[in-house]
Amino acid sequence: MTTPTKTDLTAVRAHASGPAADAVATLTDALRAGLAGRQARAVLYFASAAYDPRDLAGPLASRFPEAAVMGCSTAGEFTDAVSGTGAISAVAVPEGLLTQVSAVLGNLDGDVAKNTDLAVLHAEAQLGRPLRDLDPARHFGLVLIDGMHGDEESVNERLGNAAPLLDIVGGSAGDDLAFDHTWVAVGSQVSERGFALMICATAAPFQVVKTCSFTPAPGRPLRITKADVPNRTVLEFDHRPAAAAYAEAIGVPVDELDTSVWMQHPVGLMIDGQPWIRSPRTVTPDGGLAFYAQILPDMDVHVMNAGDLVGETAAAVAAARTQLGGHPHGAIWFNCILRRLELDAEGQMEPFLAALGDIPAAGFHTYGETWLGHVNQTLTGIVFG
Amino acid sequence: MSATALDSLHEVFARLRSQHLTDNELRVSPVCTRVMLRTGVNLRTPTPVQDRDPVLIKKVLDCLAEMGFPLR
Repeated sequence: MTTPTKTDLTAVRAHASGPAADAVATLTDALRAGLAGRQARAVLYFASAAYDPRDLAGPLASRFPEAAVMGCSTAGEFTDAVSGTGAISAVAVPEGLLTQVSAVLGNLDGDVAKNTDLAVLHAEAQLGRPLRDLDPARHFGLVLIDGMHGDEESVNERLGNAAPLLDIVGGSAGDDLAFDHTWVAVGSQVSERGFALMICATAAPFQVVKTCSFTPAPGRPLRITKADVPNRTVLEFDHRPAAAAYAEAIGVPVDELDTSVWMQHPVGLMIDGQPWIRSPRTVTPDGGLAFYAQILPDMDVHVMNAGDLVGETAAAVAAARTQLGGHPHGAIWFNCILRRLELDAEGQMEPFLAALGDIPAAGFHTYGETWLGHVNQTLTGIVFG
Repeated sequence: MSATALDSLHEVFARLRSQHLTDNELRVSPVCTRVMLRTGVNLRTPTPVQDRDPVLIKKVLDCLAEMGFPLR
């Protein structure tokens, strides 16, 4: 028997639970052991909302002074080996795989657009050049956004203005389904209404993964004819009350619309054949339909049918692996809480983790996913070649 | 030539490519996706109704300008 040789570029992941001090020590030991003397360039951690972030952010940052350290609260955390709640997952990305990293904390309390632009300026100051000048083949971004205040679209718009060609991948922080408050952290700084942005330069190829298990149902799309965009609410589809039109499209009485229906039949904005999912959240008192993401007037969306979540995940990861031409060095995943609930209900979490492949990775179950914009019921991630 | 000379989304897309995205086809995709998410317009395949809608054309031009792609 031979021991596999760890290349210098392989990322290291860890998972820990228990009191904060113990969990930090366990994570540190596991990550340092896996790094085997290499320096970390970036450390990302995803923690249950049961933890006080101040017991994690400062201690973890101090244990990896050579790295940019960023984290957030979750609705469940996982690695390629284990998924659960009440714990912490983490991944350390070594120098060599990442050659330069900037990490900043943005404040979303107040003028979201202005504050996002300010965070971008801080990142650009750290990097020494504008984000839009970065080569998108050699740079990418990771973003963790407050999951409670619906600012994801605004943050993504401003990031898109600053760096329209850059892949920025991430997720919205969770709080174990309490829907009370979430947090993000950069270094020892913690925000309960902010976002954490990391811009990375890499020497290795990388692939963005965005996958969901939905296909458009037969029938014509629904057109949004009236919407309350800031509140992510569609008031009318095709000039009819949105809930009634949606219920008719899926063949369910309005008074039977509930989470189980919405999870199976979200709507999708189709872009070049791929659905960008918007998940219904509730029927509003005026017959509208509130979503977990914005849908704009005059957009056409398709009612979707659920498919094989584990199968599509495996296919997407396999495609990324093929694109990278071999065994990836690591990955960071952002998986929707609604997908986690479906996996838990169907006893499919272990097959899901297996579908992520034998790639050292950490991730968390989110209140929304990011890639170029805000999306629901989706797995996004970045895989390092 | 002013932006108002662009009378259709097809013309907007052609101008975007010739003026800003000439060096790499891969750069077209993220820009088009961001525009779609922000305006509902797929620049590569606008519907006939969308194509010559002046309100939508202005919305797309404004979005592109915000992303640093003003069209002359």
